[in-house]
Amino acid sequence: MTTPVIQINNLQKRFGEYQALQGLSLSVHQGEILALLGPNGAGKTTTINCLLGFLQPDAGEITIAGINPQHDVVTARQQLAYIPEQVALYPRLSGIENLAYFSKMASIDKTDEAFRTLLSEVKLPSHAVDKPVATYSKGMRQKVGIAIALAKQAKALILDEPTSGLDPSASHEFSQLIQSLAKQGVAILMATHDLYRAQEDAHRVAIINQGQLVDTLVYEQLQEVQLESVYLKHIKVGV
Amino acid sequence: MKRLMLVTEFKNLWREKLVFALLLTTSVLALVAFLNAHYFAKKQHDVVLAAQQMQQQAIQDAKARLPERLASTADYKWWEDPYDLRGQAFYLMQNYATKAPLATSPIATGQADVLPYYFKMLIKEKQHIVHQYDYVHPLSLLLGQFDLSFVIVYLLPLLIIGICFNALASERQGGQLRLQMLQGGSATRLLTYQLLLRSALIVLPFLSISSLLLVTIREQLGVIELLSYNLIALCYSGFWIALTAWVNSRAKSAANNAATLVTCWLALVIVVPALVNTSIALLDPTPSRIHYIDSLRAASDDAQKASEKTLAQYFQDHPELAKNGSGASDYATKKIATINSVERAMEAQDVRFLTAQQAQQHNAQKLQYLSPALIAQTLLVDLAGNGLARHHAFMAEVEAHHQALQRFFASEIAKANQKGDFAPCEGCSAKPTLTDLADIPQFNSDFATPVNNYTPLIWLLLLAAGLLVIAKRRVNKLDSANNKEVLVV
Repeated sequence: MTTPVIQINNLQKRFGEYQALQGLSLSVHQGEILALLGPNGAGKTTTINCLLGFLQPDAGEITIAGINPQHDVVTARQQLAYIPEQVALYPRLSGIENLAYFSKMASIDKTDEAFRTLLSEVKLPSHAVDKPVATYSKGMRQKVGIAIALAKQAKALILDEPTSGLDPSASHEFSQLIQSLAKQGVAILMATHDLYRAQEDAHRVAIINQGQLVDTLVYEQLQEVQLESVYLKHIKVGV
Repeated sequence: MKRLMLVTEFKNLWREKLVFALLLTTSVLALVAFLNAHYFAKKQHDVVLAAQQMQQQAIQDAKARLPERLASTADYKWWEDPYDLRGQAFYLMQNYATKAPLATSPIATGQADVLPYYFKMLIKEKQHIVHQYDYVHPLSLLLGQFDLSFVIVYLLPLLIIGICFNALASERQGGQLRLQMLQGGSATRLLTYQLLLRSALIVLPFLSISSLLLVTIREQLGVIELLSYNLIALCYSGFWIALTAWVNSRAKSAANNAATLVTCWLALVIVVPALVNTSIALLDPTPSRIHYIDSLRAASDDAQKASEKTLAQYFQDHPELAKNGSGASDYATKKIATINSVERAMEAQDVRFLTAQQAQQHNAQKLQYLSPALIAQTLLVDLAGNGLARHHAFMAEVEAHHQALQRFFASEIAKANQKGDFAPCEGCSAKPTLTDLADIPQFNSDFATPVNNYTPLIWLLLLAAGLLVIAKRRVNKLDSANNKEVLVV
């Protein structure tokens, strides 16, 4: 087994009286898609914020491609890309302008043609490339988000509810793009409520509840079980 | 990175149709404010020019008609005779003391619309000439003319607030800040470039257009004056940009920023100046002008009632002017003696007015530090030559000129009287006693303008620097790990 790109060991985080994470440990390897499941308030977003360096854990350790964001947040962030539920783009700029802006900010300088190719790879309709993002559907904005991640050539991709609100066709397209990134060797951590997409896309599924890891299902297990019943069993147990 | 962020910010603003609107607004403001104040200054300049021309014309006319007057044997009444010292002294003299507007005048009209800028001089009590205008403190004129200073002091801060209130906050609330930071961007850089570009879109077009108008239309404007104007406007705008940075650095919502900034504007531009004005007036009130005029009338009545006694006192004070031997009085000498007596009687009142004015000015200079708007207004008005400092210099020159005229006429009338020129023979008309009007002292309109004091600008810069340091510290925290503010989406 290779060294995990994303490594979380015994992560703890408390907000006042509320213990959001209670010794959570996870790892995501190169080319692997890990779906992180859990009810609202389970600690998914807190985990992601710790990974992104926006929150400092109370205890435990995180490494992204061997770099601890608590020690070197800038270098750690260079190793990862992030796609939230709502990709935050500038609405008055076009898709290609947003891609160019955020890529150049990460010191990735490509030609206009190269940026257009990237948008074409993520299947953004060519007629939309030069239109303001304000006119885009959610799926189209997600595609620009993926193009930004692709341009960055990050080692790890973190997704927070990426398919929420997407129609089945857009969700399917998104799934294909994610799998293609995984095939390119990117380690993907996907926090989601979409059990179908998790079962379809993930190589492993981690279920967390009340800030703790309650179960992990590997690819082979996922082919044999009904994920929904496993998930509900753990959530009920957790409650 | 700098270019990328600035270009992207510009694109964002341009597509909001904001840049064009701002350029248009600031251009129109600069144009209207300049032209409004320029025409006001031009009107004053024309009046000053007309007065000076009338003065010169009177001298030329008198010169041209002198031979005719000398040859004439007609019966001239002295109060209608331009060649009679007494007629000139008390009724006919065309002699003006003028304060011409400077080339910088359109920057700030200040109190130029209420304070006198020319006097028609006659040998009267100076109280009738130089103290006939109500004293109005410059700070109370803050809401006066629509000129460049009005735009700088009131409107530029509002425009800066209007365009900068959501800098960083918009990205923080919209989630772009998180993405930028993950891509290696920094909140400090983003806020810096946003504020620089946005405020430049307001301040630079305004200053460019107004400076261009000043240079092309006000031809006598010097480089130092132009630089001073730009420096004052930039320092004042810099304060507001720094304040905006400080408010934005608190990581509150855009709406909260807007409310805070508008409150700051109200406090610093309206409320504090109003309180300062009130305190200045309460601390050192000027004596009642009605009481002053009543006292003047009473002093005039007393002097006239005791005219013989007054004349005796006058000759005692000025023995060189007494008529040889007789001590008899004529109308002119009596009148001058009366004028001197009234002036002396009013001296205490004049001192009270002057003391109150000086105390008010002293307090105004101290209290201006409470509001950047007061600092900017005071500096701009002084630069425009419409402040109290230049006016005091003008008034001192007017008083000196009035005294010179009095001395001239008193001396010449006494000499003519001693020689018997006013009545050369029994039954004869008076002969001309003033043949060249150019002998009358002329007002020196090139009186020295005091050097402007730019020390308050340092305070303004210190305030701005302090705000920027606090803002930078706060925004730096956003850039570091473990910052809950960035999590707000």
